[in-house]
Amino acid sequence: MKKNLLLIFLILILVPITALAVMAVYTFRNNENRSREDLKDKAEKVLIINERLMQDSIRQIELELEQISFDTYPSFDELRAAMNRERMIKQTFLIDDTNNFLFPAPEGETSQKEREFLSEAENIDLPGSLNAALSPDENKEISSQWYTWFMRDGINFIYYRKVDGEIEGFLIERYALISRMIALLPETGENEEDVRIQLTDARGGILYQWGNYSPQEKDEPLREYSLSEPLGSWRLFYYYDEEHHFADLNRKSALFIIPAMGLVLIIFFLAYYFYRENKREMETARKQVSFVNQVSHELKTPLTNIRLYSELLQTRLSEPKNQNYIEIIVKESDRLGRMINNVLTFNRGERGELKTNIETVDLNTLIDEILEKFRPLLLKNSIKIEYSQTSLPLIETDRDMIEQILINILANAVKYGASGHYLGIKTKSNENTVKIYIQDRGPGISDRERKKIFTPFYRIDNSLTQQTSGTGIGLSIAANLAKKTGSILQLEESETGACFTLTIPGKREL
Amino acid sequence: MKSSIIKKTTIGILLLLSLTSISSQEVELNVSVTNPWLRANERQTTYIKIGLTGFELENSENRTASNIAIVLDKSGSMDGDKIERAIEAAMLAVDILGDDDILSIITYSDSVEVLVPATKVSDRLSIKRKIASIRSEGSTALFAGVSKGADEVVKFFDRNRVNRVILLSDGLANVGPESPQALGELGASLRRIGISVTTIGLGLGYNEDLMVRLAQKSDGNHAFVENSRDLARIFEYEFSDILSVVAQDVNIEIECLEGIRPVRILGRDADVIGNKVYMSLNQLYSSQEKYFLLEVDVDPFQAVESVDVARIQMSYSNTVTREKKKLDRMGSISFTDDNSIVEENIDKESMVSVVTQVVAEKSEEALLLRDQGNIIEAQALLNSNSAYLYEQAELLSAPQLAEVGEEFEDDAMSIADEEQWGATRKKMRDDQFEAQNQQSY
Repeated sequence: MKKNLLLIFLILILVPITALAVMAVYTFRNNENRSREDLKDKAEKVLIINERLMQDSIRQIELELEQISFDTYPSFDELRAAMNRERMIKQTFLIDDTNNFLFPAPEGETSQKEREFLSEAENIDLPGSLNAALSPDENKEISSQWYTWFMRDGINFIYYRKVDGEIEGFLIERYALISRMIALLPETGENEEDVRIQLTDARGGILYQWGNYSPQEKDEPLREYSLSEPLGSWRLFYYYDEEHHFADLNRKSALFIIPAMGLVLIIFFLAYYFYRENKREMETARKQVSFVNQVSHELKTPLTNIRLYSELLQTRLSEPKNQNYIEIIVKESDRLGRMINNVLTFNRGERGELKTNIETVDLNTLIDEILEKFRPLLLKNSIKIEYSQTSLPLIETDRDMIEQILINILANAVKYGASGHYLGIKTKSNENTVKIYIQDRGPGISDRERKKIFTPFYRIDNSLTQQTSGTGIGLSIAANLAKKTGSILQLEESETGACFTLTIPGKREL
Repeated sequence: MKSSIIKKTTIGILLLLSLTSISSQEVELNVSVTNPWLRANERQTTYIKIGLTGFELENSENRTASNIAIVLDKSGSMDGDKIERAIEAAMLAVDILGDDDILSIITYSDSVEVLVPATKVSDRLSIKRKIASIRSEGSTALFAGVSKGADEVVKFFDRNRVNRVILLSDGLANVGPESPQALGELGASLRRIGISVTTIGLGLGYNEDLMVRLAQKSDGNHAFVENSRDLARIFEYEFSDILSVVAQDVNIEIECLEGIRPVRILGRDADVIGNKVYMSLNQLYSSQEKYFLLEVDVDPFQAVESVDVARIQMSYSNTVTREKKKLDRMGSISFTDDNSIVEENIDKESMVSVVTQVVAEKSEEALLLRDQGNIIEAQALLNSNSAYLYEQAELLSAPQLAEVGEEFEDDAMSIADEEQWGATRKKMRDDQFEAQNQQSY
């Protein structure tokens, strides 16, 4: 019984909590997944935007270079002077259709810088490379394009075009180009706590970075992006402080968890409250019973003595008036004894200590004895007994238990049915069972209460019984003992009053 | 009322003054030869000195408005006194500049922040408030810092302004391009469009090769500030330079005539192409001389007086009158068989310049030797430098050379001290730079 209660409480608590937990985990994971996808999308967009910025800048540089027409300058000196004012140009050059440099001319007058350029160009056969890289589409009018090659210190950029068979080219000042790209890329603002975007060169070295987040070594970029030509060897990396982000996300999700947690707490509290209340009640009841039990035991010894000495006194005193007093003492002692017996039996039953003691019982004798005991009580309440003996077989059962059952039923009938001034007892027997009917003509028991009368401490609460004293365990004990002896105690349908039947098995292994 | 009349009158007088003295409001171009007389019939080497002196800026109200980006290192190593002094110096700059000047402030560590985008220096309080918010942290994205700074200058680029980036760093560039060569190329590309980068190295942690190269290639100034206490003073010097620019976009072309071949320019970048030499400066400062020393090979000449050996053409923008000016000078040499005439006529002043450049070169060599661990040879070179300087000081009656000689003697001692090497190297680089660029501070 107690274990079941605990189990029910546990289920009451665990089921909603588990449901909530499952929902929470599902929501979190879903949030995380969705959020990671969102982040990746955002990262990609950011990288593409910056890629476009750089490509636009490349187009701008191309436009600027297209503006420079070699024909505008009457001499190479003036071309030189003009190029000395161009931020992006490290060296201009002109190659004729036989792959020879016209400017700077290897045989002519050149500056130190120009000689260095020529020797480098010779090393990689620049004219040949440029021609080979030129678009094969000869019909194409404008064949301006980029040419890049890798040197030990990085990528070199050349922008060149073919004009009347000659190649006009510009070697770009690499660091001016990098600087220009850096200038147009975003700076680190205030709202980029958890982002770091890096632009790296062909060797993976960082050219530029922005955003306030410092990626840890273990960090994988959320997205990376290879730039298109001529910046093909450069890459953009998008790092994100996922830890921080998800901590943040979880913090937000936690806001939704708070009511859920509240609910769980309320469930916990309620369950605990009810569990405690119940336990306390049971504990109190147990203590009361235990107390009553002890008291009853203590009462039994003096009561026995009272009864014994009363009987002794009865034999010695002959005056009728005294006899009458003693009878009352004996009678009341009997009643008290019954009550104590009932209490002890009930407690033993509650503790599962009831043991049967089987013997051969003559029910007629038993009933006679009981009625003899009740006679004074019945007389006092002016209850008329209607009892006709029939021949009954001897049965194997616990005599004391059957006696107590019958006493309890009779006591109940006297107690509640006294107003009918009638008590009818009938016996019936067949092959296997003996059935005893006990009928009163009291107010009876309504259908509603029928089921409850065998419950311990239940008493029909109405004006009629309010004055009645009693422990309220008599019928419960009777039912319990009936069960123990294999008998059936029932409340029969009756037109007037209450009619109990006790069906005792004739012969039975108990 | 009265004061406004006085003010107007003052302006009128000043205007009148500047009008009357307009003839002197031009750059002086002096061409001299270290040996105005050379021995006849002999192949020999001499130096032509082209001296450019900015005219005196008589009225500070005439000064050229500036367009400046201050690029501040706020990496972790700047923590403490350095960053506080840097903030102080930047605030000083805000006070020095006028309402018409344009200023931007860029800070960098791991990445770059444009703290104050290019703006006219009128709302000083809000600029200062932003400067005060600078906190040090992280590493040193120097290249990116300069790039962003240059970009802010480019936004309001104006040939009629002094366009400059002032870089302050105390550490090694460790994010982005970080070689002296890379920063040199960046500096050169900025110089081509008229932006100079002044580099201020703070403490002993920065890369002086990188900082010097960036300044040199961009025609900016360079300073080694060992103690951050001196930072404000250096800022004052720099701004007094910036505010005293009188000419910009200075281009010089030297054409060597028959029998003369250009070899090189001492200590400065120049393009020598055939018999012509091309040089440029981003600016000239008020009352300061900048010079180029052209080493030339002279073919044997017969004894003759005053042969034109080189034609010097110079163009520049006068930032006061906002006019483009061209100047044309001839350099000439006389030839004689008389040795005493050769000796007696040595141009002492230009000779001092040559000595200064030669010892600066030797100092660079000594530094290279020391870098290779060759302390003894480096010391020997520095000591011979100072001996040479003492001798020339006597010969040319130039006591300032003896002073430099003493410094070399000190350097020779210091370079052996391993603990002091960081500071010594920075000082030597700074000295070399100042000598080669005739920096005012």
